Amino acid sequence: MAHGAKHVYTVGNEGREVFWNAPYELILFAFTAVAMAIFAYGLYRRWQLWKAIGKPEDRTDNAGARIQSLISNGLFQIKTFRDVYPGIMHALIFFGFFVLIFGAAIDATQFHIGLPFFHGSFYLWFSLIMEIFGLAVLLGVVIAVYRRYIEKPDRLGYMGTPDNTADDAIVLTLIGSIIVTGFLIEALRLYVNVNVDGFTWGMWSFVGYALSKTLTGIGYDTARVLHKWMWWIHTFIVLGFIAYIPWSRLLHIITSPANQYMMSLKPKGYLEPIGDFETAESFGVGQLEDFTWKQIFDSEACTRCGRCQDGCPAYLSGKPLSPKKVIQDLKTYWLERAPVVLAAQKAAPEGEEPQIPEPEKLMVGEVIDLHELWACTNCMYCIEHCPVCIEHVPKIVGMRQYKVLMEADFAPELQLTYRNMENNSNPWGIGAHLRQDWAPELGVKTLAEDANVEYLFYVGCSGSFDDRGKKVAVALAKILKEAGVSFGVLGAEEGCCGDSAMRGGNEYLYQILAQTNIEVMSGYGVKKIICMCPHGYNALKKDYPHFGGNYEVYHHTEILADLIAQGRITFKKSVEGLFTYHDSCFLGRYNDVYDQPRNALKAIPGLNLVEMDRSYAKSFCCGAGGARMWMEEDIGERINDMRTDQAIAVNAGTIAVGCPFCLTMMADGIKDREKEESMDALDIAEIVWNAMGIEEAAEEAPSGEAPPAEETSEAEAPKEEPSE
Amino acid sequence: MSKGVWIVAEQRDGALRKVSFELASAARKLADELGDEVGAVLLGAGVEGLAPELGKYGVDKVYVADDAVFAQYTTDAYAAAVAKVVKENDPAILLLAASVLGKDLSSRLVGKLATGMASDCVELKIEGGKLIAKRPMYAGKTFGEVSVSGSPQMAQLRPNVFPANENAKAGEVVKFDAGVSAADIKAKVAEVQQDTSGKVDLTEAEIIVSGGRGMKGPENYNIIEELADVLGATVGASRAAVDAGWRPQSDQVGQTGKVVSPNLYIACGISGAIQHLAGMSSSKYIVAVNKDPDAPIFAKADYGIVDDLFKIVPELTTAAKKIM
Amino acid sequence: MNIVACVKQVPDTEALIKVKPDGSGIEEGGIKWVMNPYDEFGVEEALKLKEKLGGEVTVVSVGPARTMETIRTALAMGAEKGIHIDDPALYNADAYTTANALAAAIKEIPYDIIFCGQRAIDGDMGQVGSILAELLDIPQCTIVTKLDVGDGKATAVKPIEGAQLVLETSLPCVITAQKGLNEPRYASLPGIMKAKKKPVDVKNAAALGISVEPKAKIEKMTPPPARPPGKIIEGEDPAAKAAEVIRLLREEAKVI
Repeated sequence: MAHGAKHVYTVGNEGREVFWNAPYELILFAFTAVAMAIFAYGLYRRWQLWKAIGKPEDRTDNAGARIQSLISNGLFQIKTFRDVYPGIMHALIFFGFFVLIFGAAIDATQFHIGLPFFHGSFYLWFSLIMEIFGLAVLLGVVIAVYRRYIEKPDRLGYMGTPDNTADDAIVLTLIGSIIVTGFLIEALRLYVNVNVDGFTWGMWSFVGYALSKTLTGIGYDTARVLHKWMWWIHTFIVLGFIAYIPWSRLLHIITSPANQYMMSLKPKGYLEPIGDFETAESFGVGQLEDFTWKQIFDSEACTRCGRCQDGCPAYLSGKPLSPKKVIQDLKTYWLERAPVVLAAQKAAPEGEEPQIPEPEKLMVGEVIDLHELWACTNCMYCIEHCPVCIEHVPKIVGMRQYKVLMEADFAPELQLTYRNMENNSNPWGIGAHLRQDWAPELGVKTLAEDANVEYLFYVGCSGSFDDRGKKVAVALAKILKEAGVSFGVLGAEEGCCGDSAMRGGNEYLYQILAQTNIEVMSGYGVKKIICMCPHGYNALKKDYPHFGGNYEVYHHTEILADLIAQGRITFKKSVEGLFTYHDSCFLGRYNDVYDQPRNALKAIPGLNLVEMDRSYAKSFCCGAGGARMWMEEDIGERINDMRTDQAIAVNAGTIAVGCPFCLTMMADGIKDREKEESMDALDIAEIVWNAMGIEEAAEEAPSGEAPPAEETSEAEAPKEEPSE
Repeated sequence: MSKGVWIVAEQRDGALRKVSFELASAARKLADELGDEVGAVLLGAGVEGLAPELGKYGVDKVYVADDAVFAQYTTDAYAAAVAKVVKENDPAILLLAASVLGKDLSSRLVGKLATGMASDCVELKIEGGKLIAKRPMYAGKTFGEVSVSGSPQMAQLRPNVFPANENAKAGEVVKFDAGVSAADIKAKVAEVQQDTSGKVDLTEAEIIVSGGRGMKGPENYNIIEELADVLGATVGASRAAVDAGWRPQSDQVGQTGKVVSPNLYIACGISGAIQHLAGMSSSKYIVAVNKDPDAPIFAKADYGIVDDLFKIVPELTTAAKKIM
Repeated sequence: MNIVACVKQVPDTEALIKVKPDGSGIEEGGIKWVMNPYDEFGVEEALKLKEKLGGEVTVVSVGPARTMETIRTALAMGAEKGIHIDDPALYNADAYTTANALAAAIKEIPYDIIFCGQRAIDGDMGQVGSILAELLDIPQCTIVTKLDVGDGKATAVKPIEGAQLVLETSLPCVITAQKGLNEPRYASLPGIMKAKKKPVDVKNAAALGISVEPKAKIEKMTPPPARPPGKIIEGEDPAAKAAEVIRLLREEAKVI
């Protein structure tokens, strides 16, 4: 029997009897036990599946940071709010449910143990709060239904087709009916309580109270019977909900926070290096078993919210890749495979290898189409915005590694790029000995000539070989000289950073390139490095430490912002026109360098900076990352053209960038859109150097750039500058 | 003692090819220096009448094997015949054309005669009575001066390099029995597919005329095609033109398209971004037509015209027609 | 099927080629050595043939110790074994002597078809394949862009000026590979690792019992004449400018 003897509720001692009119404690317990058993069994079964496939990986270290992630991503829903509208929708349901469950717990405690304060003003406020949050959940469900079934945003689907499942409808119906039946019980109770028992404080439960006012005409005994029925309906829905959790998308109530807790604490964009080329038998991810358990578990946390898809440059430009689809396809495949593997493991005699049947479908090529696999620009939008901390990019790179390293089956143009990187340490295959020739007239010393400098200027392939990139390298070198920064270069000893190889799945080549560079850099005792390409910057900063290359690495926009702040760069000229800054993925999302490039631009007199629709963490990729720079883009629209359109939309005259890949892509986009007359793409170093006003008409572009104005004269430089 | 400067004349379909006269003139010059005679080997079916033409370019004796077995070039028949007549007459120097068939034949002869040969020569001289042949190596990045210690001293001459000078000599026909029958031919010509399109694949093309963004539309490529037809060239395109759908993907030259290394690359309306240059910068000669004087392609071009390509390209066609 | 692919190690196409001051050869320092691209077409065709008809591929190469890398590259692509003819007397040997060494090595093993590149991009001689065929007394199909092997014969397509010859030959024969024959594969990583353990026979001239007496000799190497800087053809008249370019192409560049 209920604890807490019968109370007399009056004004001043407001309250109510929990389980009023529903004296079914034992039956309820029995049903609850059944529901909990179904829940527990479901979870146990899932747990077994989670354990069935996947390589080991430790995701429980550093509990402090993990709890922090759980609080900010889970409890406070930080990332869901980055998208306000669906963020509010989810928050209404999430916080509403959270409070309601808390309330139910208070109810239960009151019923079983008795709460000395469960009356009077506590009770009134408690009732009001429950009412508000109940309404919040209902509102959330209404918005969710509206979004999913009427508004149908693209991200709740794939390529224009909604991916709604019966499960979605069931879950929304369950949640909605829990609240509705809850309110109805309340209305029926209040109808009796207020009118018969004189609970004048009934209006604190304002929803139920308002509903109860519509019941006039029903006899009080009928109301009591109806209340009992409704109570049972409500109870069964709630128990059904609990039992349904492990078997439905509701599982994310468990898996999402778990995934948030187990989020990667590695630097953003981290890729685990392959350790043993000599002894390993397989490389990369060719089948599910090659993923870690956590990589598979990611798909269990996915709720198909589609935030990843919403900013994916590949998806938005009409390519088949959607990060959401990849995760979901892997989940479907895993759900086919895991029971088979589990059964085989159970059938295997103790101490023997289980006989696992071959999968019917190839994971890489059939489950995940190769066009999807190779469309990824590694822009990291998906990871950055996934509210449940799913890591999409490492999976894609892992599968690319399998195609490249194991099967050597990948785009011929990328093969060419890799051969070029192997033979001449640059993607274009220009003679490696020409690397030092980007600006012989500047007299920048190599470390071989003078290693006693503060910074190594790691020029990178673009700055060394590409005529357009060379202009940026020259501008930067001039600024550094002017600002009195002590720096040197590696000249012909420099090599390709390897980023494109790594992200394109050729880890072997990448490690060779990285180790070659590290050997040279460490040989000179390099401590600080300035990179003008965010790809090199990211690789040197985050990936080279794996191979013993530990340096302080800066991107040139960080250095420029710093020099400006210190007053070591001053501007003599002011600039005109509207500028917009395009965030490079490898600067912004990978390294949180958002403000320094903008600060450098804003410091220039007269510079008018306008933000594009997608900027900062939501910036839209130029299309060149993840080795896409070296591949054909023959499906859908060109990503760089789309980004250019975004700049055109804000009437920018100049697209300022901090990355030579972006520079190429934006310049191409401007040409594709036939805006060469009115628009330009410039690196921040070029804009800064120009505004410093040191170089007036006298200076010419770097040698070999412009065609000779006069027909052949003695003074002309030969076609190719001989190397020193 | 080996004596005489010999050539292997090249004919096709009953007509001597121009390179045969270049060979004859070059041989004449060497023979005059050495005080020797010039001999020519002429193989074919019904080709005896061609001998006087060789005489006109300085050949003293034409060794002719006129037989149906030589109607069509085969390595086996030709090499056996030339090797036989050379062994019988022991010339000091033997010159062939660095043409497609000349390369095939001459290399096989090197094996048959167990001697040495300088391939694809651009200059010949006599030093101390020995032939010194100058030839490009490392794709023209160096030149090597080659001497041959075997006998005869063989050299292939690059077509269109040595002048064909008339210098009338007897051109006396010496018939010889090659002793070759159809049974000796192991590698037979099963079929000759006349290439009616005249189009060579981009990667194999010697001349490429390429159009880029400056072409403005697919309908304008006819001027590129006309120029290509006159030059015997293959048409290429930049990525921009392919992306715009003006040209098929198979025409694309560049980092993500085809990497080409023709003798001549004519870039029309192509600015020359590094992605394009990566695909064609190993071309031996580059011509650029672009109205933007700052286009980076001009930095790589041997000959450039800063002007509207729609004016220039048809004029190039007209001018080329006059000399081709 | 017993397939042989002859390979040569050459400087990368983009490598800086500098003639030694005495003209005796090129400076080898700093050069990136790669498999001759035409030989790579040959290796690829050999592997494709093996995959189609079964058998094994043996790579044969003449050159100094570093040549082993190139042999390993072919093994990484999928060849089964290698023969490395390493003899100082054969470094930079002329075409006949090289072919003679290859022939001696190949005579010791069974062969049904032999692939060579149509030329090597260093010496640019283009002779070895034909001489090899002659020394083995087997037919040749040179500068081949398409190949079909079956029923004991090979059918090869050889482009000539303005036409294509379809050649038919009995086996064994020598095929010299031209660009367009195929797209050489990129070696897989397990391939690279396995290649380290595949057998490679190292032999010298004495073991092969061959003469190393050269038939041809490079007396002197010279750098090419400095290429004139790019010319911009000035003028107002399009016809005149076009005519000038055509004239230069014919008379100066000699490419048309």
